[in-house]
Amino acid sequence: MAEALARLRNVTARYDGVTALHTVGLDLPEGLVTAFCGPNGSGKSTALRVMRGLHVPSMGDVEVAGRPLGDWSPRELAKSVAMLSQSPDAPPELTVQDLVRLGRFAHQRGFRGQRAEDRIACDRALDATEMTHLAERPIGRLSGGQLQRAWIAMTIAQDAPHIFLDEPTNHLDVSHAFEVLELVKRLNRSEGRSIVLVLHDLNMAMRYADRVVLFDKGHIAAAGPTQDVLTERRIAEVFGIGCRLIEIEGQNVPTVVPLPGN
Amino acid sequence: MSPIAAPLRLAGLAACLAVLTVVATGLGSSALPLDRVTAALIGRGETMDAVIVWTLRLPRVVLAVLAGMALALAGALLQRVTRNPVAAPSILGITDGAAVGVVAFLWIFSDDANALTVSIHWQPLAAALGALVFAALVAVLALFDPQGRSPLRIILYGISLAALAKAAVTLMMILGPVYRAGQALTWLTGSVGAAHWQDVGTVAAGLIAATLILVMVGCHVRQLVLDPETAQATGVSVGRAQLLFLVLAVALTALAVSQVGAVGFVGLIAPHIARLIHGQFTGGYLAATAMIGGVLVLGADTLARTLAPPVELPAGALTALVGAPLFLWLLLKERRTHG
Repeated sequence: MAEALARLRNVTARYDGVTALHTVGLDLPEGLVTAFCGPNGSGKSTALRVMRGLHVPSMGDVEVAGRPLGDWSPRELAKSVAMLSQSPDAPPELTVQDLVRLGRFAHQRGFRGQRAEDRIACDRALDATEMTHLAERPIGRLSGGQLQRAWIAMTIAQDAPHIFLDEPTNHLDVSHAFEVLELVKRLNRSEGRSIVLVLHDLNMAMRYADRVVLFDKGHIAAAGPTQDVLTERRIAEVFGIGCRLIEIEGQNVPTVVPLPGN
Repeated sequence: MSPIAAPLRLAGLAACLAVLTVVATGLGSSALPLDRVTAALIGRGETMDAVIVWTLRLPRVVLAVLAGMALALAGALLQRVTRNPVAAPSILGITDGAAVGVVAFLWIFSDDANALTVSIHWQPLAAALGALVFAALVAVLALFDPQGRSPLRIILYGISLAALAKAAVTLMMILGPVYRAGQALTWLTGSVGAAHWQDVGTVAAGLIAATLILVMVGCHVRQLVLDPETAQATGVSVGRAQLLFLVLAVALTALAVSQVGAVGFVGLIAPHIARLIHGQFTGGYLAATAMIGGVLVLGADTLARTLAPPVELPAGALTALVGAPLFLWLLLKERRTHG
């Protein structure tokens, strides 16, 4: 069997006494774009944070790239898995360039240590996110879409083979959201990075994810290839609304149309 | 940011500090012209000049510089750890906590003849203990408050505890014998006063240790501008880094306060001047902050002893005169950006 990107075994996680994940088991294969979908509070963000070691589960075992999470040093883990959380924050005076440089922490040693390879990684990240022309601008003076791209640039600069993104299209309009997901696809297809992302928009998941994990009330309702998981029946069950999948001519994936008042 | 390169700006600051050191060494009741100060400093001066410079003036001048550096670094570290530009040792109650430690030490360990029953060298430790207790109190209050992460909440706890510490110091001074009160007055408002090379050595040793730690793990400091979760995702053990820098800030504050008294606001002013003229995300920010802190305390102390001779003003009163308005301005600015 191919090495798994991450493996959860009987994982239970709680926040302030509320159980967000109930004895979840999950295997995520390497090399794909995987989307975590599900209603609000279904545990998808928690699962992502547990996999990145940002939330300690109260029970169960977590493995990343074949090694138990506890065996990783913080720097090693950061070199293997980069993650952008839901609402990252930094001082508004920080320039895009300085922000992106912070992504290089795991590769640096000592007090200053900005080496050529750090500079190259930062330049590539700025280039990939089309932020090069804004490198000198303080992040407080960016538009929502630009800011999100700046954070993604920081995440890319970390140069990790695995990237986790928690709702990267939040606060973005449709065209910016597509831009971010096109970038995600490029990172996967041309650079071979494995990507796991939390997505609310099922149409985005349908279009960009190779696999989908569907969360429901702290359990996994289904996991597998996108079109096998996102069926009319399952979406209706999990989200509690009616839904139709409609083929549109010229599009290779069906469009999810929710039908309220089912 | 100004077009001058960062190394040049740092060199400029170092030059400022050096010039101010020479000038401050010359100033005083028997003023020495700069050439005689320089001659004495390089060991070619007359005997009398050498005594004035090396025994009377220089220890005090160097102590002021080092204490200023320690307080400024403490302020810059606290601002990073709390992710709060308004944080500083005096605002979080740490400076006054250290003063409580010192005054309590003087009170507890004096006999009826007003002589200390233990060595005065324990005094920095007493300051550290007081500083640590008050820093811990602020931290505990913030941790148990569901909104305790909000920058202004932490500041409120700090200011309340600082007021409590000030009251404790005043009470101990009034209840204690007069001699002790006179001795303790130094720590109320801050004064570099009578300095010996031994004191200079103590602060220098602490500062060197702190510098070594910062050279080894200084890159964590910059990383803490990110929110904790994002910082952790870039590979920092956030909890450990925060604890380390918090302890370092408390230790630096205690070290400075035990030697020069409760000189307030330096830890607030110096990092902000460094932000303005150097940039808080540019390499060498901590070095710039430290040098500015040195300039500030040396400047305040020199003014304090030359403005109204023979009366010596407390240096802490002068730094507060600049620091308190800056603090208010920062609070107003904070309200504008978050309100």
